[in-house]
Formats: sequence, C-alpha cells, structure tokens
Amino acid sequence: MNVEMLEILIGKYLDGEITPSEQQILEAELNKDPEAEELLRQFQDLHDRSCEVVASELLGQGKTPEEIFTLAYQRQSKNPFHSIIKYRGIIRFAAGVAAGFIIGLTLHFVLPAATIQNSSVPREVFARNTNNQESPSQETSPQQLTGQTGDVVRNVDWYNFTDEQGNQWLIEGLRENIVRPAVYDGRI
Amino acid sequence: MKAKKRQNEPALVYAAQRGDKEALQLLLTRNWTWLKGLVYSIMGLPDQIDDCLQDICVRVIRKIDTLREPERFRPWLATLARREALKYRQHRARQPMQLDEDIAELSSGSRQQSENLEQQELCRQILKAIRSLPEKYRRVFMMQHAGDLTYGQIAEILDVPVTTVQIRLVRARRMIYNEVVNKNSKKVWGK
Repeated sequence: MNVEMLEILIGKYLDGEITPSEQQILEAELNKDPEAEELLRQFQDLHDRSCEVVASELLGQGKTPEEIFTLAYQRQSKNPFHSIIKYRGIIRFAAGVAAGFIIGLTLHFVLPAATIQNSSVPREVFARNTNNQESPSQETSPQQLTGQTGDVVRNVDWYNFTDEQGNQWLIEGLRENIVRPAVYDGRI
Repeated sequence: MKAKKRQNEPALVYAAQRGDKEALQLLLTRNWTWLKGLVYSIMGLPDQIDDCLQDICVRVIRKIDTLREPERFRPWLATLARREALKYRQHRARQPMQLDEDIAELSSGSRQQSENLEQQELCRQILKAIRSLPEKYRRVFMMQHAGDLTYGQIAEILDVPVTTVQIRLVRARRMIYNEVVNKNSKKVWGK
C-alpha cells in the first residue's frame, strides 16, 4: 500500500467515514507495518489538536448565532425601502416602458413641425429659375423628348444653392408633364 | 439525528419563505458552525467574522424567497456566504494588516485551553499552518473540523465530488503535519 492510500484510510478512520472493509485493510496494514502505526498515532494527535484549535478559534469567540440573527433581523426591518428593492426589477422595467412611450409620443407630435421650423438652410441662398416657363414650341418638339444620343430627356426645375463655404451648387428637380431639358451654362 | 434534521430542512425553508422568522433562525443556527468555518477559511482571520455573518443573515432574510429548490438550501447558503466573505476579504486587502500581532492575539483563545507552554506553542503552530493552507484545502479542512459534517455533506455544499473532499482533506492534513514537524523535528507529538 502506498503512503497516499494509507493516509486516505487513516483520514477516513479519524473522520469516522471508514467502511468495515476499509477498516480491515487498514488494520492489516497497521499490524504489518510499525511505521504506519506511528503515522496513525501522530495523525490522531494532530486531528485532536486541530479540533481544539478550530474550536477555540471559531466557536469560543464572537457573538452567538442568535444575537447575530437578531441584529440582522432588526437591521432588515428598519430598511423602509426593502419592498422597493425587492421588486426593483419590475419597477425598472415598467419605468422604462413608460419613459419610452412618453418619449415616442413627444417625438411623434413635435418632431415634424420642429424639422420644418428649425431648418438651418436660409431661404435666400436659393435662386429659383423663375423663368422656367415652357414654350409651346419646345413642348411639342419631338427632338426635345429624346437627346442626340437617344437618351430620354426629362424636364426639370433647377436651383442655384450657395452653401456655408461659398460653394455653389446646381440642383435639379423633376417637373411633372413638362418636357424641357436642364441646362448647365458652365458658369458655376 | 442528522438525517432527521436534514429531512426537516426543506420544510423549514418553505416556512421561512412564508415569513416564519423562527424557521429562518432555526435554519441558520443549525448550519452555523460550518458556515462560520467557511467564512473563516475565506477571510483567513477571525476579525470581522461576526460582521460578515450578520451581512450573510441579512442577505438570507432578503433572498430566501428566491430559493427555488428548498432541498438545496445548504449549497445556496454556501454560495451566498462565499460572496459576502470575498467582499470582506477584498475590502480588508486594501487596509494595512499586521499578521504576527494578529496571530499572537488570536492564540490567546487556545492559550486558555492549553495546559502548558509547549502545548500552547504547538497549538499556535497548528493554527499558523491552517492559515497558511491554500484556500481550497483550508475550506474543506475548516468545514470538516468546525462543522462536524460528513464528506458527502461537504461535497454537496461545495458542489464537488466526494473523492475531491477526501483528497483535499488528506493533503491539508499532510501539509499541516509537514509544517509543524519541520519546525519541531520528531518531538512534536511526544507526550
């Protein structure tokens, strides 16, 4: 029998966990080997003293369990927010749903109006092509409906737009039912 | 007797969950010794143990109704206690501590029980050896010696196999033995 196995059996014997068959094996080993017997004696002594040390270290000091429990119970009873803390998960969830609903409603009613009113683009930077009137000749001209390369020509309104950096942009917008090409004169 | 106590434990948990204060107190006091041993094994020193145990009691009172398997009260309690004890240990780690003074002070408890100086010294060495054990060995050792628990109960509480408990106990015993024998040669156990 190796030392570790012997120590396991001795440990089980000391802790009262040894089975009858294991005890027979241990007794046979103890009878056969005097060193094993000495080891058992020393471990028995260590076990007894350890129990004493642990008892004096833990059980002989401090308050009794009843005192500690009473203090804990009083402390718990004094906490007026206990019921709130207990259900805080549900409360948080409900508060989140309510807040989301209110924010959604607010955005729904306020945001479109605010977007129009608070448009940051000044109106005067637009220069609309106010002379974009369709002429009867152009309206009826078949060449204007298709370009020279055969592409379909769409009629558009166009705008000049100057941004904050001073850049000028030509913006085209489709017009309905009027056939007229957008013209870029190359000056921008 | 132990088996009878164990049978009653789920019933006590049910009663405690319905707000029975006495059942809750009984549950805690029945499991007090191993609980204290577990807390000690994590904290390493007996100071602040009562404060930590009080906090554990508060947590149990607040959380007992969340325990879904009353038959697993002990592992649940052990998990809760471990968390609280770790909090205390972390808090204390930030504060300066003088270990030697502490051991000298703590050995006064065992001094009362010892009959002579040699025995006092031996107890002090054993205590020091227990404290210097790695935590997993110290935990099993303290629970076995303080709580009067079987290997099976320790395994259930710590959620480890029974063989692990056996091996850890054997190794813990061997480490303490080596620590004490190395300092006192072969005369340590002489009477």
